[in-house]
Amino acid sequence: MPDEPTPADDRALLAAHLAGDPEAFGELVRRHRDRLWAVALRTLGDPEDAADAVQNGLISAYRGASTYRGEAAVTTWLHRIVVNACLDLVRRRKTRDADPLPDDERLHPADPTDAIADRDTAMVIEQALATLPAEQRAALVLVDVQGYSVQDAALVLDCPAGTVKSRCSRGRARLLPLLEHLRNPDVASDVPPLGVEGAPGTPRPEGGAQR
Amino acid sequence: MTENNEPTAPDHDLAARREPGPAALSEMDEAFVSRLLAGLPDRSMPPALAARIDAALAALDSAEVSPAQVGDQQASMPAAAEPAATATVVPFTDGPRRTSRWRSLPALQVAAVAVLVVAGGVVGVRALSGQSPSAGANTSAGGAAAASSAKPVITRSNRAYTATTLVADVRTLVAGGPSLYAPAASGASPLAQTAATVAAAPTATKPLDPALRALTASSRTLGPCVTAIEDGLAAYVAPIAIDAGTYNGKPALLVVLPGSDDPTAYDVWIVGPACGTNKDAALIRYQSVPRG
Repeated sequence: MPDEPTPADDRALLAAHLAGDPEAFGELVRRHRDRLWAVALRTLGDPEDAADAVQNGLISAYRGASTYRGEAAVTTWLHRIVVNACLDLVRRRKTRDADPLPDDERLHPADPTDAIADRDTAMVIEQALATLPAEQRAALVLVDVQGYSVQDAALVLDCPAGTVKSRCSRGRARLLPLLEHLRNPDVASDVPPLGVEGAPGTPRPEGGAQR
Repeated sequence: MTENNEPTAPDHDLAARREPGPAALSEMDEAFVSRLLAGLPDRSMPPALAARIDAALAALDSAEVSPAQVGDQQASMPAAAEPAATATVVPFTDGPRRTSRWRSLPALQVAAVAVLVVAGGVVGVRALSGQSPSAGANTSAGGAAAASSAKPVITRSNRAYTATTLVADVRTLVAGGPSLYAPAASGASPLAQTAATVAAAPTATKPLDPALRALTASSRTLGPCVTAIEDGLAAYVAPIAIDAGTYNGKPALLVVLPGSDDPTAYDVWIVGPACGTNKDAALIRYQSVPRG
């Protein structure tokens, strides 16, 4: 897991917060908010939802700071609270992971000749990420996007490391058909639009080969 | 997950085991996708959101009991006690909403649900119209299960639910087993049945919270709460069981719904006595519980 600021400093801030220092928790938030935001945004895919999740998570952390027992890094604890808030939001809203995007938002292979291809590429990747089930998405965001170790991601997600690996592998396997064209533009025409038969998240015919 | 959200060694993940998915990729393919994801640009929190969060935390500073005081209070609580707030505090009033069928249930259908037994600490509510409350539900597996159930829909066991016993308690609640609800003796009076039930159930040490008692007075008083819980579902789903008690020492209502994403599980919503107020479910905890 990224190790700056130092865990000791974070613990000191949390202790100061518990001791009544009115600035301490705010400083803790300032240290980690960008990472928390990035995780929430890419786990939920919607800025408004992500904002709610981060705010609710941080308020929960503020109120529940006394329950932190020091067995994990403060940043892991914070991430766990925010990720839980994200997944709760997903469950609560019963977001359908396989819902097709509106026509104008469907994935199309990026045109390699486009001058804004780099920006498009990030958008295509984020849209593809948004098609994954929330648990797979959260695992990939933590491990691949944010660079957390599998072990730390397991702590955040409250599941065994093997489950994180499995979720990441499944998620990557679902993403590959959507992103293949970024490696080899020749296969671009084979990429199915989201929400149609054969696309990830769409039921396949029985016995049909999965990638 | 631990009650305080602090990571400890996890021991299971049923959701992962039942996830279907594509076949494994080659290492090269996995590395390719990983590289793409790792190459996504950093995202900084928008200044407006940062300011909003700072303001919210500052408001907590001035409006709430200091964390030190909270810590003192929690130190005196049992080890399994829920923290003052957890990450599951998710306002139900956020975002777009879809109309729940619960809201559109005909008044007569709601009125047909009546209190059968009100004695001591137990209330049993059944549909008198010949239909269970799930009659308006669609054909989900859980709805069918609820429709075929003859168990009480609403109870006030004052059960002291805890995180560690929740799975077993939910299964017992749904099954109407003896550890929660003593089987009604043939010919026994409601009062006698109640006495047996109370004796069998591991109840909270305090009497049932008055607000919970009011909340569970009838299906009409419960309506807004269930609506708030189900808000966002594509269709109304009849609760399988509702029980008033405590959760980790706090007054709580346990609402068991069919698993929305998994027919082999229950969606268990634990909410506070304010559930339904201002369309907020006052969520304490959500948990998916595999059916036993």
